[in-house]
Amino acid sequence: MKAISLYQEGSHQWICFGRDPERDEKIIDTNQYMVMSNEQSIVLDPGGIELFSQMLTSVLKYTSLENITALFASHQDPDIISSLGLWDQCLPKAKLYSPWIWESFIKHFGMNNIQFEGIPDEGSDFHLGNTTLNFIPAHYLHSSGNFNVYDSKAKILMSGDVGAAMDKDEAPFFVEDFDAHIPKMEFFHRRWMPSNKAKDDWIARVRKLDIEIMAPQHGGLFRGEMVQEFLDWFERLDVGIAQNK
Amino acid sequence: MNHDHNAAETFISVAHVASELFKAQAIAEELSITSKNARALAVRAGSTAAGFNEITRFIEGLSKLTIEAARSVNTIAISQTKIAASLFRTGGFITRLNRVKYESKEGQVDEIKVISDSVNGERKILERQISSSLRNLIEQLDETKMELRATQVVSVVSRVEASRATEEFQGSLNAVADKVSSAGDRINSHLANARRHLSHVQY
Repeated sequence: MKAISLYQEGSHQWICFGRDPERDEKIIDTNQYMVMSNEQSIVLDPGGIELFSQMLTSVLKYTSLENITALFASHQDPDIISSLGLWDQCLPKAKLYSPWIWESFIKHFGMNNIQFEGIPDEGSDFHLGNTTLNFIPAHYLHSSGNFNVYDSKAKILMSGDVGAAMDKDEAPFFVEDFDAHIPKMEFFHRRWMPSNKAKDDWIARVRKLDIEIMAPQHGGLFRGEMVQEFLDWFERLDVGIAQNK
Repeated sequence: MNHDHNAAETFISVAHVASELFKAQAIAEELSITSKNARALAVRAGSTAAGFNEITRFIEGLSKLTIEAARSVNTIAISQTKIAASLFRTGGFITRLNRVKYESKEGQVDEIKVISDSVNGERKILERQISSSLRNLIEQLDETKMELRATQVVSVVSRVEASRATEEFQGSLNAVADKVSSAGDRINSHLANARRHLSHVQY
């Protein structure tokens, strides 16, 4: 699994893991993130059970198990958190932050040691070492209980499925040509995102944030002006349409 | 100690091994740069440092060896973690299946026994794979550690060669010897940590 550093200042660091060359081609490629600050780490959307081995091996290159104090699951999908039962064996004292509505569902993945911390619908702040992350509501994008993670110091928004694209394994971590990227994300957004109202609500909320990097769970990350380009494109897009083209 | 616990402990330990080797690899990459700088220095120092020039080739070899070992261990570690994770899942499945067997009627038990036998067979295969892969990993670590013992010799010889160079270059050449010695110590310490992570894994 490849890893790149998105931000580093002192002990405060963001790392993106993805583009796993050993992944079965039938399994969707995912980006996982880890934020570290002052000997505390949180893994964001740690991924599916099939990815667990590569993820565990990769995160230990940057942190220790004792320092991973929390996991975050933006929603309940298997590619987000079906590895929970295995993380549960490694992180017996950690907490899992996830939308409150998914508690009784997510526990089906196996959770005997990790403690569930439900995020309220309006979002909340999360203190990690010397920094604070914000859980930003992104409900119905696509899941009915869904959050993004914003870091105002690093100016990074981990946007979950918003901005996701079905890209090639060898594609670069960052989107280089926005227009060429549109076909890779258009169908996904039209089909998976069920509500224009929810979409507009999210865009209005996110436009108030100072974002340098928008980091989705699938495909390339958006940097600099491309973040605004994405928001403009998404604003124009009509979603909630079940057409297979 | 039960099977599930063993499997969980294995995938954690092996991931730690990969982490230690990743750190050793980073030091070896630094060592490679040191070696290239040292070669340039030896060329500038001229004929009095000719012996040093040869030593830099050896340092480069050691750094390559560590980088290759780290890559190889990383590959084994990922595969090993995968097997251990599968074993953990299989173990969990068997525990649940046993509960079903206990609560089932006679006719149903026969049906479940077929599945149970098949999964138990699979578990045995996974255990054999893990055992052989663990031995492979331990051998690879021990072999790398043995080969890296040469770093201390290289460091001593470097100092001898540095003393032959003109005074102007002696300080810089001694600094290279110090770096080689320190890199060797740090790499060995990571290898020892890696080995320690495997010492209590049982299969």
